[in-house]
Amino acid sequence: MELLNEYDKAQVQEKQTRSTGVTLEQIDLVLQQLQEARAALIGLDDSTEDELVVVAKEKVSRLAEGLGHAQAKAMAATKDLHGAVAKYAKALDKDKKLKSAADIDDMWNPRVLDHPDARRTLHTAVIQHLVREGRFGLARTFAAEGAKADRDRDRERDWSADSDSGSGIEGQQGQFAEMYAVLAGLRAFDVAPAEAWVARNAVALAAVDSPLAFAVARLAFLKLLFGSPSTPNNNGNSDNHNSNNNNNNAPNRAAALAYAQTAFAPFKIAHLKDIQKLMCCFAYSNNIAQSPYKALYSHDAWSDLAHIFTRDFCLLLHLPPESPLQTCVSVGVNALPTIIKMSSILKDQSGLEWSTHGELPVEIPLLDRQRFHSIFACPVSKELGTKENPPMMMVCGHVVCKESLLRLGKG
Amino acid sequence: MSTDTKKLEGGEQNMPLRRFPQTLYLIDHITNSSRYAGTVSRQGALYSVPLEQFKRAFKTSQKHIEKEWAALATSANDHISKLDLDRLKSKEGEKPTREDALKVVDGLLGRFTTLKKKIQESKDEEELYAKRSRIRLEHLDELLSLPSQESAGFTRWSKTQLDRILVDYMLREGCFESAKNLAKEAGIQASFLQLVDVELFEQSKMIEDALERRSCVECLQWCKENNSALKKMKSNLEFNLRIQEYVELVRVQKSAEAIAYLRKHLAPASDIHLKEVQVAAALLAFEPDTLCGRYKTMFDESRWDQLIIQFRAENCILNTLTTQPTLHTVLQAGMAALKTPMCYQAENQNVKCPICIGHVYGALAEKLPNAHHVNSCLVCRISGEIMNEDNLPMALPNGYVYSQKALEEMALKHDGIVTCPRTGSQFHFIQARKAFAI
Repeated sequence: MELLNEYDKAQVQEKQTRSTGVTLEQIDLVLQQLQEARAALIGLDDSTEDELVVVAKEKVSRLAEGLGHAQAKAMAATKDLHGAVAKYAKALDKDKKLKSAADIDDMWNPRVLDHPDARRTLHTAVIQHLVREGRFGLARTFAAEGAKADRDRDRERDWSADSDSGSGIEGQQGQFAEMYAVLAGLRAFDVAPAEAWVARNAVALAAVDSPLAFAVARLAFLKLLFGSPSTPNNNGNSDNHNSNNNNNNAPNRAAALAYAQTAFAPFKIAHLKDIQKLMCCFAYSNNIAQSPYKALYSHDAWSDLAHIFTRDFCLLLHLPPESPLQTCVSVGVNALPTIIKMSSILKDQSGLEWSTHGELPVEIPLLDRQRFHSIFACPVSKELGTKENPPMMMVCGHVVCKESLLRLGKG
Repeated sequence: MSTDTKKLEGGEQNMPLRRFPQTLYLIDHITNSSRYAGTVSRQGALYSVPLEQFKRAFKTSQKHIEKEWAALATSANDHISKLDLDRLKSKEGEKPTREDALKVVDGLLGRFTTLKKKIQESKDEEELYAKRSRIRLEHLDELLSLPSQESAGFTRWSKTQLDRILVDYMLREGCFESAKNLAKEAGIQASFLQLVDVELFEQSKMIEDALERRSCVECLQWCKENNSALKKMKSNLEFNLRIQEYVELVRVQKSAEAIAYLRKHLAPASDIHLKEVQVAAALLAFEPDTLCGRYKTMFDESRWDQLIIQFRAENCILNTLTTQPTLHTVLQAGMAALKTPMCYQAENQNVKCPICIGHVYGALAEKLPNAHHVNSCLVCRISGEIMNEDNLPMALPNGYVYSQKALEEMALKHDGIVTCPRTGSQFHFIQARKAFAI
């Protein structure tokens, strides 16, 4: 990357180290000379006074020279460093992609977050984000400090009426604690917490047609059959392990079969084909790696299950699968260059102001997964579909908005 | 803004566009730019801050080496020549003794040892900020070498970025414990701490707290340390602080001290701030509870708040920081880009959409403009997937549209019957018709 290369080319770090080294070396030299002079003076015999004076003068005057030299050397190294830093600073300045702070401050700032109420809402949003990420301690710390900051900032307001956000955290924490327990289990290749959660929420999951229940059962079965991925799966030794091993991480055909017979029963209809595939896995119980089914039990299978689990967990709780703060910030970061460009253009155009109503003047590109609402733009009039002007489908299947339809009809 | 006209199919004419005409040509330009443009363009302050800190430390080092060292060398010379003179002057056998010479040497030893310590300190600071600059540059480098926005590496980088933005936010809110804990947890390597400017904000907080306690001392010290930069900015912060200290003396009627203070600190500024100095001088004649306009404002307690605000603003400029937390800027941009009128309509809520969370993001986004979309983009209510040529939109007899894949899946599981999630009405899959709405 350019800037990093510029920095290294200018040798900023090396020169800094060198200048430090040289400077301290020189100063140590000076100190040493001073010590020598001192020692010499003390060592002189009292009686020879004239000599004393001469020697003293000589030693001390040499000192002055030494000081000068040392300083010059240190100065040289310093200048060198200065040059290097100046080069880097210039490269930084020139880099057009990096906007300086001043530019951004002048940019679009609808000041929506300046109001004290908005700031408290923002605190809540941050706390929720932290809880969602499983950082419960941090959420609590911030809730306390944030509340104090609010109180300090706005002393006239009556804060006693506000509910303690701490209790909110407890509630959310309880919800997410479960999720993190299961995810931790999955990371350790332990399906049990997931199975328990699925059992508890079987009804809700069925209602949303979730694939999770079967996915968990499948993975549990495969684990019984092939053993935990972390334990080395010795080819051909699985039978030996059975008798000696109490550890339920070892492959255990009999248990797998028993499990399959009970656990797969509810999925007989919907997942028949999948169950058939899984039964075939028995033939490969010694070398899953060579089977066509190895994808079913790779490390990715575990992380995919974690993914499905997180998604369904949030779905049941009516929560978004990704932290909303993360979503907004990701989108915002990508939106900024566009907005900055727009601001500079608008400014040039004799001070046209951004209004805080209506729409942004330009489209911000969103990733597919950041699209949450349908937008319909009429191919005829380019207007967006609204309640008053809804999209209408014609007999041929093409869709235009109502107004356009009426206009077409007139002709 | 001039309205533009467009010839449309079907002979439509004179259809005014609601949007700024010039923006259209720009859209292509913007989408063609680097895919990480957004992430990179926000980072200016990230690199300029440690650079400024480095420059400051460097200036101090330079001062030590250039000025103080030279001064010591000169004074050494002086002493030496004095020794000589003394010797010449002494007629009564008062010769310069060993003690005199020793005194000179000891003196030099002491002062050079102090100088060494000071140089070491400023050099350590230089090193810290030089290293920090590099670590931040490496961080950016990491981003630019990622394959795509969908990669796991990018997700990880985004998480680090969000953590960094949150730490900056917490620091500015004065929540130092939270900020430090977050930094500790977030950093897999210790280098995360190098991505945030904890010390800077801690120092500012200390000064602001002092001002809240009605003490100008710390802020004046800060002004002294940043004298040259403040002068370049033509800042009158120091003068305002001096005025405030003076006012406080007058307030408690310590007239003698006030006058002395006026002479020492305010009078020298008369060339630039004559009017203010005159008003200040006249203040002595008034009581703190005076009603006389101009002098009443001088006694006003809110002047302290003004000082805090001024310090904060100038501190940011000096350190090339933005005055708004990054979180504010980024969040407002993101919310506007996501906001649609549907977010506020009960029947169109999407659980994944942040703005639909009414009591948090919906509330914050209320006063923001909506996102602007030129092209259709249909999102299936059932699966959340985009409807496109791989996944066609299909309309049920009741008018609602869902994606082909979602309807097919549903039909598969329920013997060909699909249920409209919005109304609950049931239809057979055959009844769904392809809609050409893209």
